[in-house]
Amino acid sequence: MSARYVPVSWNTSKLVYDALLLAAIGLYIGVYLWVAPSFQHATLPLDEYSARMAAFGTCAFFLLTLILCIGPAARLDRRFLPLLYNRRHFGVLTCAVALTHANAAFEWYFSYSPLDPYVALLAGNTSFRQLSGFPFEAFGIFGLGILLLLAATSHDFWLAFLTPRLWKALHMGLYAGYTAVVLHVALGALQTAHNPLLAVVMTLSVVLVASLHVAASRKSALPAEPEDGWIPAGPWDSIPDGRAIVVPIADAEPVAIFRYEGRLSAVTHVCAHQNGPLGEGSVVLGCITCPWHGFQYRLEDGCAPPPYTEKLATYRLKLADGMVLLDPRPNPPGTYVEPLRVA
Amino acid sequence: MTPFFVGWNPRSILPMSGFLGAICGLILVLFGGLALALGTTVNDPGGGNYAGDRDIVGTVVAEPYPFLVLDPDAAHPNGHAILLSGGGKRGVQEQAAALNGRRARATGAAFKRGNIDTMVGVGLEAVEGPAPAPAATPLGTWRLTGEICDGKCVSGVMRPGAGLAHKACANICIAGGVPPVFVATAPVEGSAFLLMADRNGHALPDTFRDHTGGLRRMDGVVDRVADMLIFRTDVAMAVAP
Repeated sequence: MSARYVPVSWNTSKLVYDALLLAAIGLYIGVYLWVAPSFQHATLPLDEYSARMAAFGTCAFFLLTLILCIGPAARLDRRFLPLLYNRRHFGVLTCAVALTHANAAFEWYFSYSPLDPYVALLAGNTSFRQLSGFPFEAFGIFGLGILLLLAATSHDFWLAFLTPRLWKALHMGLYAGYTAVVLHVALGALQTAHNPLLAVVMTLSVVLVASLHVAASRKSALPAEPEDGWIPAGPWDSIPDGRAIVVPIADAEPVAIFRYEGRLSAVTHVCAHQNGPLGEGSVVLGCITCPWHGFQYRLEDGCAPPPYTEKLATYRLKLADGMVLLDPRPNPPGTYVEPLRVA
Repeated sequence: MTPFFVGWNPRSILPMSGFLGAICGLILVLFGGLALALGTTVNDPGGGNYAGDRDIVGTVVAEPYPFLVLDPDAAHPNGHAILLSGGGKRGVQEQAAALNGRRARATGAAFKRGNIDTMVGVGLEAVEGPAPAPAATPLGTWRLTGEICDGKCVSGVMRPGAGLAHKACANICIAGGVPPVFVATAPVEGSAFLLMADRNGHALPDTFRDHTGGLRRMDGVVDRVADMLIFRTDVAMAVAP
C-alpha cells in the first residue's frame, strides 16, 4: 500500500524476487554465450554480435512467455501469487534484455553503411509483399516499442496519473507486443533455423500461454438476470470464511462478496490500485486484501485504513431463504453499508 | 485455510515456500537447459574467416563490381580474382572506376571462404607496370538455384552472413556497393560462389532487394574471368524454387 510516492518501495519479497530474476537471466545468457559454444558442432562459432542477438533475443522471448503465464497461473492456483507480486520489475528487466538484443542487431546489421542507421533500419528490407523474406524487423520494432512504453509507464506515478483503468488497458498491450515478438521470430530466425528445436520450444511456449488463459477464463461465470432489481449471488454458506465469491454484472464491473466472522460485505471486484481482482483476495487483519499487491480496504465502507486514501464502491446485500441477493447499483466509493449478518 | 501471500508480509510466503522453491528451481533449470540446448544447436555459419591483412598488386576491374586480378602463377594460370569492398557496408566503386584496367596496389583485410576471396576496408593506389586484361571465357547459359548474398558478409565478416535473418544487411551492403555473390546449391564448374551482374555485365538493378536471403532459381549466362565465375542474369525474373 502507498500513502505517498517513493521511487521504489523495496521490501524483502521484492529483493528476493529481483535477485531470482537476475539469476535466471544471468544463467541463461552465461550458458548461451560462454558454455554452449564448447558443445557446438559448427565449423566456426557465431560472431560476437550474432551470438549476443540470439542469446538476448531468445531470453527476452522466454521472459515474456513467463510474464504472461503468471497471471492465469495465479488465478488457477493462489500459490503462484508471489510470482505476480513484482511483475512490473519483471517487465522492466525483460525490456532491458530485449533492448540489448535490439541494440546488437542495430549495430551489426544497420550501422556502418552510407545510410543513416535509422533510415537503413526502415529501408533495409521492404519486401512487404512476400511472406518468406517479409521485413520481420518491423514486428520487432513494434514489440520493443510496446515493451519500452510499458516499462516507462510502469511506475505508480503513471498509474495515478493515467488512472488505473486506462493504465491497465495500456498494459494489456503486452499481448499485442507478445504477438509481434512471435511473428518477429517466426518470420526471422525460424526461417533459416536448420534445427527444429527453436520452433518446437516457441510453439510450446505459445500453446502454454494460450491454454493457461483459456483455463483461467473458464473460472468466470456468466452474469445472472436480476429479479426485482436484485441479483441472486448464491447461498451464503457457499462463501468460504475470509474469502469471497465474484458476481458478474451485465455491462458493469463484477462485485466481490466477502464473508468474514459471520457477516457479508460487498465491494467492487476491481482494486483501486491496479484494477487487480479483489474477489480473489482474502480478509487479512480484518481488511479485504488484494492478491496482487496487498492493498487493503475495510469491509464495511471499502475505505483503505488511514493514512491511506483509496476507496472502493460498496453494494447492498440482503438474504432470502439462505440465498444472498445483491443490489447491482454501486454506492459511491467509501459509502458505509452495514455488513449482513448470516450466522 | 488456503495460504494467501501478501507482499508486504514476508511471513505470509512461508506456507507456500516449498512450492515456490520448486517452481523457482524448475524455472532456473529450464532456463539453463534451454540456453544450453539452443546455444549448441545454432546454425553452422560456415568456415569464412579473417585471413590476415594483405598488400597486393594486380589489375583493377571496376565492373560489374570492383575486383582485382593478380598475375598468373602456378596455382592460378589465368590469374586470381579478389573481390574488393570498402569500410563498413560500402563499396570501392569510385576508386576502382578511376583505376579500371590499370595496375594498382590494394591494401586491406582479407576474408576467405571456399574459393571466394575478398578484401575489405580496401585502399587502392596506382602502381607502374603492365596490366594485362584478364582472360574471359564464356561458359554458356545456366539455370542455377541458390542465394543472393553480399560478398563481404558471406565470406566471413559476419558469421552467419547469409539467410533471411540477414536479408536487410545484405540489401544494405549490396546497395552500398559491396559485390553481390550467388551462392549456388551445387557447384558450377567447380565453384559454388559466382559474382553477380545484370544481363549486360553491369551492377544489379535495385530489384535485387526482393530476392536476397532466400533460395531463388535464376537463368543466366556464366563467364569465367581469371579464376572467378560471373553470373549475368535478369534478377527481376528470379523465382522461388
